[in-house]
Amino acid sequence: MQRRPKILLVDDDVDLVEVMSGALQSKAYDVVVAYNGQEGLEKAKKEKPDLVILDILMPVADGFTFADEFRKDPVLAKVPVLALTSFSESLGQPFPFEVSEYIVKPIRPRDLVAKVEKFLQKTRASQ
Amino acid sequence: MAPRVEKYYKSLYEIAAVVNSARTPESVLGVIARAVSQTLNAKGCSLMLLSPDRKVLVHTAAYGLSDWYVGKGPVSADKSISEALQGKPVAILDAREDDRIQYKAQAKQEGIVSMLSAPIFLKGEVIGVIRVYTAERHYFTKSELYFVQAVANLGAIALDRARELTQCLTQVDRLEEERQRFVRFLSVVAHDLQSPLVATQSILSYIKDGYTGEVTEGQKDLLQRGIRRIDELLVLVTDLLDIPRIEAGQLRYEMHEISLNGVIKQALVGMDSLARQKGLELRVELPVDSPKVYGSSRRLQQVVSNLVSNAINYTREGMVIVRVRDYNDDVAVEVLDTGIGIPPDELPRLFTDFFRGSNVKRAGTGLGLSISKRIIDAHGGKIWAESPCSETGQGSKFTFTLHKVQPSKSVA
Repeated sequence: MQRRPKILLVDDDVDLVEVMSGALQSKAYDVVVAYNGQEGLEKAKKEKPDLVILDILMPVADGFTFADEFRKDPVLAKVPVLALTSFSESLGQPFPFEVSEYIVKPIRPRDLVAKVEKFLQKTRASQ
Repeated sequence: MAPRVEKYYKSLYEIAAVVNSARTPESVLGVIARAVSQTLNAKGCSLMLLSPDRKVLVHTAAYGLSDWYVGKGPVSADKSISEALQGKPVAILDAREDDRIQYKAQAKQEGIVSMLSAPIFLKGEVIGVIRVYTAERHYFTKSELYFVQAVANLGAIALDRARELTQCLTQVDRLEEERQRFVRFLSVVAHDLQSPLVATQSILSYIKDGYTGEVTEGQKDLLQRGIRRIDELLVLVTDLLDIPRIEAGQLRYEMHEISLNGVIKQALVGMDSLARQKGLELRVELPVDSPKVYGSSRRLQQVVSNLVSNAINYTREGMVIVRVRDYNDDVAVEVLDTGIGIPPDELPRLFTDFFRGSNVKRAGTGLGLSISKRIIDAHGGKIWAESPCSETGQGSKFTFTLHKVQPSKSVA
């Protein structure tokens, strides 16, 4: 039997995390949650997620910190990352690592689930 | 011309060149000390400047003198210096024996015999003293004195300019720091204002989409209205924060050489379905070879989206055309519609903050066009509107121009 896909959700907004993980769990995904980049990195190494949803601007250890370390890990290097940004946030510099897709907040939880499904199918197809 | 006079001219010419290009006070005065020594075949030359409070004379540059001699101590008891500071040049035939010299013994040990001290003037005020030292007994001539003073005064001008330049550069650095702090502040404000709105909107969508249990049609409608109101607020917050960011020159840091066709295509994503929903035709006419412009892709997309969504919103039937016109140095993007148009007396105010057309019923901040104008201004382009459109005789036509990046011609 195929195991349930595991999704790592990294965002500092507690309310957003709750609705995003609620929507993902309703589709029978395993959801692991982290509230900053450092915690996200630790959980990523331990849990080996199939996909990461990453907020780029967080107060403690932001997405940049996370990204730096993440792609160095040979297993994690291939994991798709969906990056969340707010539409008026100018990053000023290009995000220093390859992101599978940028998702502009605000996002409807239902649309997020649809995007996740699309990416997991793509990964499965390429395996 | 006498060889000596020629030498003076040459020296003055060289010093003037340095004065013209000098960027630091030190470099100017060092060059002068050396040029004077060499032109007059003197042992050395030094320049001493008054401190800003005019109480202390400080050795600023010296040539041909030992560090020991230059650092011998304050010259406040030297009568030749005091006289020079009064504006009168003083020539001393033998500094080793003349009582007007404070450091006679030191002069002797340094091998100095004759000395000329002359005031340095800037804007009619003495700002220091220039001194010439010879190793033999020397009667300083009038022409030597004039030469030394001319050079010293040139130096004073250069010094003044170099100081002003330094002040300007410090000011520029300070303003740049201020600008960066301001932009960082705005980013934090943007994030903090948007986060609660973004979270609230996601929560409302979550409930509306039934994740928390069944929702009636009436509840769905109310939740949708809440979502739309938050959308309005998000747009307003973004618009309000965009203005100071653009005005702080933030766009400069986002500019690259980009394809104009790419910008337009990106901006039109989703516009097609918007037009179709209203039964309008959206026609896009792009050149085969995309013109290249130097700009911020994100911000130019914002302008195109703004113009096209306005055109769709204010057109009940007919079409919206987006097209590119390629001129020699510039390229123009035009957005034409067959919509309600703009009353002629309102055209001049169209691009001002918070302007809302009298025939406009839709919700909006009245900032879209004024932000578009700021973006185009920051790119060195122009933006304007015509209504009715001169070609179709109806609706309106918005045009903005940008400078083209010329394709590099290969030299055969």
